[in-house]
Amino acid sequence: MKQILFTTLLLLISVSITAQTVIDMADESITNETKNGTYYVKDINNYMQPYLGTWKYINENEEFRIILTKVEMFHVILPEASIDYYKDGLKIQYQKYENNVLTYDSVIDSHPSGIIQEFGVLDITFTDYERNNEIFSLELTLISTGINEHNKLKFALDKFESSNSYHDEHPNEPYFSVPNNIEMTKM
Amino acid sequence: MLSKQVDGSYKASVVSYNLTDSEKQAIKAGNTPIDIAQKTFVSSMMSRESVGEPCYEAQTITIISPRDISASHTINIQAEVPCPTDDSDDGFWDDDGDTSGGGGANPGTGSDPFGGLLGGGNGIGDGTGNPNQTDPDDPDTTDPDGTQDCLELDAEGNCMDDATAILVPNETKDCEELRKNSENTTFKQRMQVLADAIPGDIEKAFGIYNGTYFNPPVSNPACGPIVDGDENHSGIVNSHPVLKAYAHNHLKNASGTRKHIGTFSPKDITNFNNIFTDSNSDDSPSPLLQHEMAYYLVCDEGNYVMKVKDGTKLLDFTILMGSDGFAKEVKDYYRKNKIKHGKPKKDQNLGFLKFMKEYNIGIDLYEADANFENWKKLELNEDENDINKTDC
Repeated sequence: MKQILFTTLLLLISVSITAQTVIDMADESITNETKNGTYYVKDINNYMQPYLGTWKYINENEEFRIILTKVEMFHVILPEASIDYYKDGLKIQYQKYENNVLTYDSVIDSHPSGIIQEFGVLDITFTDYERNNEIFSLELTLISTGINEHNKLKFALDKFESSNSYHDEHPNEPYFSVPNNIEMTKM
Repeated sequence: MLSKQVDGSYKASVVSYNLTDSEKQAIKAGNTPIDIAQKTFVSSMMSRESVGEPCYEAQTITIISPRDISASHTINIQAEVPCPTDDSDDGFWDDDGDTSGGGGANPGTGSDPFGGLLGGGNGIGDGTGNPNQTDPDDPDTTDPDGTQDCLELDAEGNCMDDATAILVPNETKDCEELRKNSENTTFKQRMQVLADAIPGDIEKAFGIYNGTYFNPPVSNPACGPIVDGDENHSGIVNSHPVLKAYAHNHLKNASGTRKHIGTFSPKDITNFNNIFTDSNSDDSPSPLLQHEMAYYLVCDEGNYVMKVKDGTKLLDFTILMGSDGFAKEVKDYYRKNKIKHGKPKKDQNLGFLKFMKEYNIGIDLYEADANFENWKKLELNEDENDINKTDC
């Protein structure tokens, strides 16, 4: 009986997998890509791989780190928007240190994001938790440090038409709570 | 012409007027020609007596109250469509007149429909917000059958050939409105100011009002002053009951924290919704109609406008943008579809049209020429790899 159940389960999983259409993240969208739970937007070229891990930026006694982790086949399901599909994405966590003491440790993104259409250029969303959880566009560009070696990246947040209610209320404070337009080194 | 029947349905007829240009001008000035009855022709939408006459099919139209989206309702009409083949029998209104739905009609001259159109009660409307129009889904206890406004009732209590509402396709009204604004000298001057500022460092904007509702009335459109924003955000135009449109620019040159795009951003869409819903607010009741609402963009890639196709969907999108996951999905969709600073114009337009469809945001997109005239509607082609442009 157990064997029958196991076989049935395997068959169901197999059917489920074969019914899925894999789409290359580097390609443009197709109709209904985000609908019906049948599509998987995959990082087929594995462009996300060099980004994974911890990156740091040091400015005198202050240190800023980001930790990037990949989530494969994340199920995006937002029923109120009729969105139901799978994707590969990255989650960002960030930390701030002062004199080597951890002063801020962000939560890890609950919803992965990020699109890479050409190697070394990642467009991702950054949540600034010390700015009323406002989200901003972030471009992370790999910098070559040798043959097939990319141990540096440029971290560039974009303000274009993003809301920043915190800054509206505190115009004298920096727009972002983290350093911007910086070069980070892989740890 | 739609005539409300006791059972809640509408009798539909096509009314045409054989008028000279001078007669049209006289009517605009409020002077109806004495012999208008002889120049008015009412024909049934059911009868198609010869090849070459139009075909009709059943369509559901949503009538949106500009004051209260929740009061919107749908009605079924027979809309003119291309005839597939002249010998087909596929449910179009044809010679047989045997397709279900709709109402009959009395070919021939009606009972002064122009009087009904230009007179008080039903007025020249566009079917989207005539305050005297009865909502069939919201029965009025003082007029339970919705025929109180009829000029003339038949023996059964149905409206006779009296216009209950005139339904002009939204696209036609959208185009007329775009043309009206583009014909205004001040509007074009202000748009040119936005265009001239594209290479600069400050986004600019201005508001566009229906000045006929001002006291004393002024022109429509009436354009507000140019308002400066900053390098990433356009200037703020305060909410106003008759603010019908907003025009702004996106800058050309990128810098460290500014990467403008060549089409509308998600923030533009939610801002447009806010202007649209503000005009529906109970706090600031507005006489504006849906087709008057517009959100213009002047940028290096071109001159664009968003028009409201479905206010409810536009509102739904705006509400969903408050969700972290949804907002991230939208940003990823933009990136995946090359809606990004520096990408070719066609890629960005194509990406935005795909986005409009995939996320069903309830807007239409138009593009003008360099003089802010000759608007064309932009739509995806069938294969969704190119853009169809249709003249307004």
